[in-house]
Amino acid sequence: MAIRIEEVIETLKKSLRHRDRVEHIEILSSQNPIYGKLRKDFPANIRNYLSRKAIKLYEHQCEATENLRAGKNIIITTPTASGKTLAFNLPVFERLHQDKEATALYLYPSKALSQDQLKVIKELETIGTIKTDSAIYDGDTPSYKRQRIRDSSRIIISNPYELHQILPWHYRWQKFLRNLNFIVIDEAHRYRGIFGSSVAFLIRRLQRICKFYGSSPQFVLSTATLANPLEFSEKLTGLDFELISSDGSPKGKKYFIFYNPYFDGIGTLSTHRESMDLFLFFIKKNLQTLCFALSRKMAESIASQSKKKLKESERYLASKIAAYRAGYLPEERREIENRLKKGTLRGITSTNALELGIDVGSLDAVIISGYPGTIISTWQQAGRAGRGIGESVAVLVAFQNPLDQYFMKHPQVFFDKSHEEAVIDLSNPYIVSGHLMCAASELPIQLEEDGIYWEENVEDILKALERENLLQQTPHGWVYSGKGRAVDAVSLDNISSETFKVIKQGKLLETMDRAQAYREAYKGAVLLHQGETYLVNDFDLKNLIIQIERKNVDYYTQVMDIADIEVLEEIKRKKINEFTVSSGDVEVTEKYIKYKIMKYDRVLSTENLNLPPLSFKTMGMWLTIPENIRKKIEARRLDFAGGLHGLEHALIAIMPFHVMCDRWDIGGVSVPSYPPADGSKVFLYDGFEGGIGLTEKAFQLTDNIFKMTYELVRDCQCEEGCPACIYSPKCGSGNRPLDKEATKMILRELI
Amino acid sequence: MLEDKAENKTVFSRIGKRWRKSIDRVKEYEIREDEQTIDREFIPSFLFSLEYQKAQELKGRLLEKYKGVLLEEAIQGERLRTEEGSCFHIENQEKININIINPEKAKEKILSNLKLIYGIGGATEYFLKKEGYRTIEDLRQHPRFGLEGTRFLKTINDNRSEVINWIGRWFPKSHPLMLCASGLWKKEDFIILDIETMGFFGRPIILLGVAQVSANYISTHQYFLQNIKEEVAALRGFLSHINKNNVFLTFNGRTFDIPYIEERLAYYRMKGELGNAHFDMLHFSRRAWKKELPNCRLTTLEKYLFGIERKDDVPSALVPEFYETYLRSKNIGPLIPIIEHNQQDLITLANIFSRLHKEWQ
Repeated sequence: MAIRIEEVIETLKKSLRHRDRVEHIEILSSQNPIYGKLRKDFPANIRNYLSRKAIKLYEHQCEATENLRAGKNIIITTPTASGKTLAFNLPVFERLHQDKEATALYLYPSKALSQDQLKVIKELETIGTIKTDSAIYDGDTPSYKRQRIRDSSRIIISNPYELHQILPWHYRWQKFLRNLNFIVIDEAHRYRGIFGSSVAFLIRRLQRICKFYGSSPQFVLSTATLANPLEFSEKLTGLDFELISSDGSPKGKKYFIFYNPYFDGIGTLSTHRESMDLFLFFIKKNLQTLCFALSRKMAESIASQSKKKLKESERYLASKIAAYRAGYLPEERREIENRLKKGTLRGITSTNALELGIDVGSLDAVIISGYPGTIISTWQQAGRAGRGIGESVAVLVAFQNPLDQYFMKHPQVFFDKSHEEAVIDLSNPYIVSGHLMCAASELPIQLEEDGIYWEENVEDILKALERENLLQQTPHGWVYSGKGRAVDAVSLDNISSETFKVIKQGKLLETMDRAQAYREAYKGAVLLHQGETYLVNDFDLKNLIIQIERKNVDYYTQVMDIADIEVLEEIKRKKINEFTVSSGDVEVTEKYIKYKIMKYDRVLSTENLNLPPLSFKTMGMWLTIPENIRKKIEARRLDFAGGLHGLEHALIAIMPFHVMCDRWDIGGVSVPSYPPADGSKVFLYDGFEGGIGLTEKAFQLTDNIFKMTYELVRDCQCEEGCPACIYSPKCGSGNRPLDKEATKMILRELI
Repeated sequence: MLEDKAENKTVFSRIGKRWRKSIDRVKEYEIREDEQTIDREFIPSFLFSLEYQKAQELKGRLLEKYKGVLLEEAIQGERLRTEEGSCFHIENQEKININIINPEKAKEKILSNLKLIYGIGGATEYFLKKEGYRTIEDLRQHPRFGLEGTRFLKTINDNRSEVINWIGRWFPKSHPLMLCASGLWKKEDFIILDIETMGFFGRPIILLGVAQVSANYISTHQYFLQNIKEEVAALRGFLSHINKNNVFLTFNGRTFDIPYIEERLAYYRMKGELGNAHFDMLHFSRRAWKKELPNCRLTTLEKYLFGIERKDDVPSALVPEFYETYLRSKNIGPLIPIIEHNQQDLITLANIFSRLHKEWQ
């Protein structure tokens, strides 16, 4: 079984088929384990657990334990598979063993992750003989079990959405909350940007209630590597933290390959085909391989085509390949995870469902088909290869888009670049006001005491809410008096809970959200599931049910959509030089009007679709570019549309610094208009239904934003644009067209 | 972060309006066009469109009628003053005829049910009775069931509330034997309870209604909030009626009224024990009349059992809306049916209790 990765790499480097495509190999050296020592050993039952599992503690695990013992809050940023979970589980169990009343709350961003964590905790509970009655408490928990869990479980695993719903019921949780010693927040890096800011206030609401019941729990944050872990943790919780970042776990040597199908600028095979090719190459070399694709469809199609290929040559391998992605039912996912751990699966393709800490054991190789958009994600995905001390390989396969190509040509930029910052904004009045309402419905707000949980302006916001009869100032504090439940009106993120059910002969096959259903499961679409093709027979919009049937087809379908943006109301407007800058309400619409039936890359036919448009109203800011500037740019034979597009990207890159959000929280559209109409425009909008004040605030800060954007583009050393200036990691049109010079010209006129 | 103070103010007020809109959109009831599938009787979560229209018309009429009238002028009551503020207290007394099983009879009936003893099912009971063990008292001499029998006798003599839990272990909550257990208490011990609220949980209670029966009278006490600030005083008023010997008599109070009050007490950081014995008429009514009636809402039972047809009533689902209209307009019109509705509920509840005892004698 033992395969020398080095040999595989050598083959890659030598083979005619591959060698040119290998643009770069970064070697990440191996590391011997650094073990640690505890000042005082764990109690016998935990020691017993450790010896039964043959675990020796690493330095960072000891450090985490000592800090938690000392009553401190910790943030652990060591990489995937470094034993983070154990690092906090052991001290938590130690406390729960010493104090038979003590409780702990674990928050996970998804239900699937909760399941995994429960398994780990149950094992510790059994082998370590520490009774905690650990349980999951989330939307799936049947009501007859709920009271028992609240009253007797000492470890409860939940998620932020459930916590948001629970808090108004705190009196039923008295016993648990009174004894709450720890709040563990795993995958904490997910709580950044607007979503993170909401979660930060959710946590403050919980802290306020804990204080009422006389507890002040310690926090454990576990996250991917971030640029600003301490600042992030302090903002998320309002407390001081100790950083645990030095990884003591052993590492095998890892080869990180940048693989470029477009090394010659043209490319013979698509990224998707090249990824499949590498996938098969590794599998045949006996490497257990995981391939990440950017979309569900891609993940499915790589799996099914690989299977097909293998059936022709190595038949026995074909059954050892599976796809794994969100939307699969839990049982199906469990089975795939188990097969992967047991080694009966050799290759697996996935969307980022596996990027999260689901424990699938060690893998030899990871293929990342297309840059996932953030450095954080790229490292998370690459971290899936090489658990333990064996050698491993990770490959980033580039798309033809400028951003991917930039990294291929400048690998050092990637390897030197620090990870993204996780931004949290505690002053966004849209978020603050929503959580103030929720808090007021949990316990009356008394500013003398509760002031610590909020920043400036709170009183003004409370008064504004009082004018709308949502709150009332009473001798007992600010009391919530709205007609509906506050937590029902305030959502933590923008994700709708609507799910479409995909039904095959009366049986549920999988679930998907509305946007996905529109893109992939419209009537007539070919749907892939576990590599099998299904035909969509019926798309029931009213009941959210999609009926499919199994059918072998040799074509696939692709929806064609048109994105559109419309100004609903211009609320403010100002002149900057010859430009007009406006802010107001906009509506972003996606229309799905047709789909193509495709075989290979050929369009067989185009069919009409009858789906209502998907649209959402939000706040936007837009810039109208005067005609004469367009003419000036065109006179210099520059691409005006590329200039606008570049401006849109650069503005989105700079905005987060001024309005405190993640760049993924902002959307943009540029609309070059050739006369007459009302001028060419660049739109920026809040990526949240109804808007969350991002562009509204940006409108007040345009001077700074435009100036900084200009400096960014002007001072960037690149020639035609790069990720540091006008390339966007989430561009819908693959960063095309772009014209840096034109962007610079527009910006110069703007300041 | 927003620099300009005046600018902030306008942003804040715009945000306030936005929340107002989205809070208004949170739906807690829906209006239905037709009368099919109605089994969610006790949750006022849906309304028929005719009912809705009628209620809106009523609101309009009341706003007209009570323009400029003060609450004290329209409804006889007085300010209840406490250390933590005041509220409006309305007291009434009416004649009523309540007949429930007396404690001796109740005890006799319960003790004759041997199935309450662990290990005794229908067949065993039959044979035991044949052997002469007619009551649990007789069982004390029995070699196998003696110990448990003695324990039950001690419970029924010393701790009536525990008898309810005991019965609950072997019989459903709606079982006639359970109702029979309510006879272990005196009429005067019952606290008949019904609250009106601004919604399902997490919002203020606007009216707490309590009634107690003595001899041939029922006296009702209603603690009403003229504004949200008065909730603590109203809760205090309510708590003044409760001591540990009381028993609650409610309609769906197990799932709604009692947890709701407990939640509000916790909200205001107030202490109050509401763990008293509790008889919920909804469970019994369903068992007794579900098959004969379109639904088991209190007003339906009232109509069927006592021939009372409420005029100018406000549907429970619309209570929050009526109260909001009052808060905004300061016109007391919409309050009148809420207060009357609540009082009528209390009286009907007492009557249903009595009727159930008669029905299941």
